[in-house]
Amino acid sequence: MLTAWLFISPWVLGFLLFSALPIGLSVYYSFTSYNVFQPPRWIGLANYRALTTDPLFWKALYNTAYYTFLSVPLMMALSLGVALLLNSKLPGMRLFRTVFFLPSVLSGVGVALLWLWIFNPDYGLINLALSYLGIEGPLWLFSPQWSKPAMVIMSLWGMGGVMVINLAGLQSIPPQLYEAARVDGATGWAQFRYVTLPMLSPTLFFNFVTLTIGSFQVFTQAYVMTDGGPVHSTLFYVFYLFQTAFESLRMGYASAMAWILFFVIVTVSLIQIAVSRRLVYYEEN
Amino acid sequence: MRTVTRKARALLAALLVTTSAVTASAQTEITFWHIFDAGPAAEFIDQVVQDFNAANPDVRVTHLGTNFWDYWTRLTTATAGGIGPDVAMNDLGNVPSRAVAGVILPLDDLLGDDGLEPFWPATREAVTWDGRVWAMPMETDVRVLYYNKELFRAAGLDPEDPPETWDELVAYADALTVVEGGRIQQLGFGPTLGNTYFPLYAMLNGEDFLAEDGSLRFNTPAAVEALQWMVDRQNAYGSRAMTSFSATFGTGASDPFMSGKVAMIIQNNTFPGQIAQYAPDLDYGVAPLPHNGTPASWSNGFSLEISASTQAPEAAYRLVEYLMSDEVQAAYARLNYSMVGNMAAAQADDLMADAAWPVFVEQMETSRFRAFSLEAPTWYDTALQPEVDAALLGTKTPQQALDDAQRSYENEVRRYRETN
Repeated sequence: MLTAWLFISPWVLGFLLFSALPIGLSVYYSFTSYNVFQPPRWIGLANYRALTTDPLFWKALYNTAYYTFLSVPLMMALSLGVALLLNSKLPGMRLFRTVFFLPSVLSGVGVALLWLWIFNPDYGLINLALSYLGIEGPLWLFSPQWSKPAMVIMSLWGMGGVMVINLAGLQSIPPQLYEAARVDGATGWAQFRYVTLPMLSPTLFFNFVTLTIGSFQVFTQAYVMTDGGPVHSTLFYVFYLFQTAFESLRMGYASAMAWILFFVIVTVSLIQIAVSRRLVYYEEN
Repeated sequence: MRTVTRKARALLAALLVTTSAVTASAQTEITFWHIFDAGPAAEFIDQVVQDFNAANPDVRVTHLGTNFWDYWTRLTTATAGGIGPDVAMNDLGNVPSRAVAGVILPLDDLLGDDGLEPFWPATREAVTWDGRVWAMPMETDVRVLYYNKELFRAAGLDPEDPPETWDELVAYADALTVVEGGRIQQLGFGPTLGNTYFPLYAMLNGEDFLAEDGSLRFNTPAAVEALQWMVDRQNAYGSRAMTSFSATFGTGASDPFMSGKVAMIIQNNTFPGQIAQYAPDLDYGVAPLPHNGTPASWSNGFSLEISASTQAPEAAYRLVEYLMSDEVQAAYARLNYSMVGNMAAAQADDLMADAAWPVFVEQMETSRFRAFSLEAPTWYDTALQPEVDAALLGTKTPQQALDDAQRSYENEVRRYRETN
């Protein structure tokens, strides 16, 4: 028994010191005024009250919700579509799978710069293509209306990881089910609806939950590309939290924000789990 | 005889070792943090510290340079953890924040009989709070107008007669702008290009946002007029055309002015060094900022501050005094066109002989720092900039934008008071 504890002690210590302790402290800090240089001062619920009247807090919440509700369904649909295509037994599939997966491996400033150019209003690829169709493309990242859709498009490019999970799920569906469906006279669409979707539902559910949690925490694009602008249109929740904590040095206020986000994500996840019980029903059959 | 000599030598050696150990332990050790982590600046500061150590044998200074982007996190974390440096460079624009937080020492004792007289007028207010002096202005900067003489000649303008007022600037800009097929090919002047922002235009129109009671006020008539002018300039050749044109530029060789695409631009005093590096053949001139009745410019900079938790305030004082001395400041100024805080050093003869430097010095006399707000220290970013963006995009009128900025600022002040 002692040996077992010794074996896992590095992880346990690490978890306690670097995860559990800071999380516990942040609960405490959310009830204080703490600027890092002076000891935290207890102010009760003042941070939470002040947040409810902070227009930037509501704007950040709206921006993040908008981004999540737009990107998650699109990402799920696109990754499923591509996975279905890549599941066919045509030559060159392995090459295509690599090609579709590669963008999700890239990250950071390079990708941000790449997309800054793709979205350039005058010379960018997207507006150039639109101009051939006779459409004058929008200002994308420089327009308050189009900046979030632009970021959603950018995130869709990195759907490789989700696509690969869908692909694995598709390949684990027993082919006998498809044979049985064909024998019963099912068309392609019917096969998809009555065999593929139900058998894939656990995978889809997993993607749904993890994509949502990830989208609520969108940060890098705002930090690197737009700095929350223009006109606060890409002020995402975690970006606002980051600014409050590390640029304004208001740790108490930022901690309160962090815990509100936690409750929002937990609530949304619980709703998703409750809704999914109807889907899981197919699988148990 | 030989034994005595050997013993004597051994005793002498032991004595020497002990004495030097005693002297070493009697040395006061202090640390100095700065942003010069590489290149000529790092060698320069290394030499300065060496000279100080040699001239002050009872003090030993160890210094650490961190690149600009990581410096602030490092300094904040170390100070919060109690292992911060004794002397540190910091932001000259928000000294009162640290004075109020109690993390720096007042430096009144450091000043001679002249007080703050040796330093630029713009910096004197920046280092003062609540009647005391809290920092030394190690380095400041100033914005001036850079203009492309070749483009001037091509447009039939006199390259030795740059614009001095806003009206002249507009006339010159129109003459220097070339629009083809709805796209800007060459721009005379872009109000958002370069090292400039709305508060600077407000200053040039006589508005510094300070109300009598010390709070900030953004929606005054002078401010609205300045924002309207900025919006007009931004949309003079088409709002969309200007936005797309501006989006094609970056830094270095793709800088709007250095690439020769923009004829006039507002930049700071370190720009000539960049031009020498990226566009050495550029034929350009430097002039004071064109204004609308109030000659002005905007300055920020780096301060030298002593930590409140230092164990050796006297030694730290001496280091700061040395770093602010005429010789060190003049050498620092020569390094890369830095506008040092020490006026005498900044006006050294060899510096004044340079073509652009006298313009910087002239502009420093009318330059000011941005107004400081304890409750909303980044008001220019949080409350003001988004509203300015909205006005430039045309979604709000300048009056609406500045009214909303005022509301935003007051909200921030109220939130600060509620949670502090």
